[in-house]
Amino acid sequence: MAVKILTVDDSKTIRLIVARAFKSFDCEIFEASNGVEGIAVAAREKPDLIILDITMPIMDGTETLRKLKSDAALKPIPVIMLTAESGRENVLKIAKMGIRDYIVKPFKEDQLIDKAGRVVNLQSKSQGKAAVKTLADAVSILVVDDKPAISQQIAEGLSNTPWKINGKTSAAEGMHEASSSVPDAILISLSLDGGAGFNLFQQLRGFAKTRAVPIFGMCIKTDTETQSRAEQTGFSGVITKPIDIEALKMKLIRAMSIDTSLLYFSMDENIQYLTLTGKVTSQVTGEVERYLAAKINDMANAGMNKFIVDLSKVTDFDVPLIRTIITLVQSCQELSIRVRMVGNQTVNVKLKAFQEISDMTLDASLEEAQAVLLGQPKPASNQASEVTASESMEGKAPANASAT
Amino acid sequence: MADESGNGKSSVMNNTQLRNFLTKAVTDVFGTMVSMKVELLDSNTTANLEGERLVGSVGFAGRATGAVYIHVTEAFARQMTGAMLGMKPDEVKNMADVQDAVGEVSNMIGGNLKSHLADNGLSCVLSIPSITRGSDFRIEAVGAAQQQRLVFCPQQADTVVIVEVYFKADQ
Repeated sequence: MAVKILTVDDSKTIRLIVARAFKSFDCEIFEASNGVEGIAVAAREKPDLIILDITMPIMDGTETLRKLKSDAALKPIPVIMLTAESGRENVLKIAKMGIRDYIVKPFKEDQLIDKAGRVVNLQSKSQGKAAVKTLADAVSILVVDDKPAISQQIAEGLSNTPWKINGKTSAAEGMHEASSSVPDAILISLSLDGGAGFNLFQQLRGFAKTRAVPIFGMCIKTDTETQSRAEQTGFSGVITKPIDIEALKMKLIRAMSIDTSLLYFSMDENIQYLTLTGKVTSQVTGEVERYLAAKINDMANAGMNKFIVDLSKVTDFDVPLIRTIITLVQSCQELSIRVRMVGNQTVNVKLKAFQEISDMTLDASLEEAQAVLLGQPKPASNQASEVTASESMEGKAPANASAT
Repeated sequence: MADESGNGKSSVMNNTQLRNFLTKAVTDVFGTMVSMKVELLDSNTTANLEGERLVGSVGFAGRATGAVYIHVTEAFARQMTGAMLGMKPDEVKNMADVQDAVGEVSNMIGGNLKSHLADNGLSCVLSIPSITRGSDFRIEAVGAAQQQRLVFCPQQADTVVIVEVYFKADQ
């Protein structure tokens, strides 16, 4: 839900600057040009935060604050004073009246966002859209490590993605970069001098724009003490060195809520496909299961009833894939969705090792599976190409899988 | 009027200190709010404003009494307004917006000075800003113990910004 912010200032210029500062956040801005209007708007809208000027005509900020704090319904609304008057006496007077914070004019928009972000939960508008990012989208990853080779290794390792890796060699440079152009994820070396990596993390978490950005710490694999400290501090995770690029990629994908379903799921001519290739690790099956239930439900809602699982390019797999297949088949059966599975000899041999699914039928090619589902004759070259027993999977629920 | 040797009449700040304080306040306000660097010109400069100009002013009254005036040309006022609002100068159509922006800049510079005076025992209150507009007028202070006229040259603008301060403190 959008955060409601009321700006009370007699200067339209300042009200516009305040509104512009919050433009990239999920906020609803209300304006008033003096204290009387401000109290009326506050009573009507019940804002989450009031940004209040002091020197105003009709009713100044000090009097407005006094009235707000004497009204039981408005008293809990946090107030940040925005004033050109920074004198000690003035600050003490308003502080005693129960303000959350104050900002002295002239001010930078970032300063306003930072202070407001300590009072209300500011959500970047782009955060709401993050869930729909896919692997085809360019995301920016800030790497702060005093060893440029690390940034370079990550950039090279992720060069098969459209991701942009931005390396910085000091905490100060990292903070400057993150505040001027908010990255989608941040990696910080925890071995920067003087605990600078941890300090940078705290700074970034205190800064509204980067508060919700996933931040990973990086340290050597054997430094368990630092890893533990990072977890306690609140890092999104720890990447150990030497860096396993594939593991890093998966962690970043999850942290950035990137939709990876296109890696595995596709649709063509009213048939839903799940295609797996290479070594199917538990990470991969975990990814698949993240989307599986939703995909099957979407099929049922759309009146689709054909599903092909293509394992023909799988080179290795283990129990997790068997569990996923059983889940998939059972879920499809419940919704009368017909499933065919395409596999090669390697898959077939391995499947046979699992008693519960050893009698599943595998089609030798996609064309064959499509023909079966569409009620068409099998392609001539595949007439006798089923790679296992003749019994069809359709309508047959496997027992619960267990490793044999 | 106070002399220029640094022996002003206020115990809070002499003329050199007042000049330095205002220079910092003006450069801070322009740098932060207008995203514009301004440079103080030599005190002997003859640079002045020609034609239509706007003067933003705020007054303060109490143990210190006085006023701060910011003089700019109308064209530069539009440029300032555009910079503050993230618009091009020719997109700034409404003169009320221009006056508001100039008034706010005066308020910030005046507020800075007022706070400094208050922190040094000269408590006073600040007025809301006002704007004077025209091409042929002079502003003179009556009974001011100290006054300063500073001329700034803004980057990327063929004009000057004149800041005048008059004040008298209770001794």
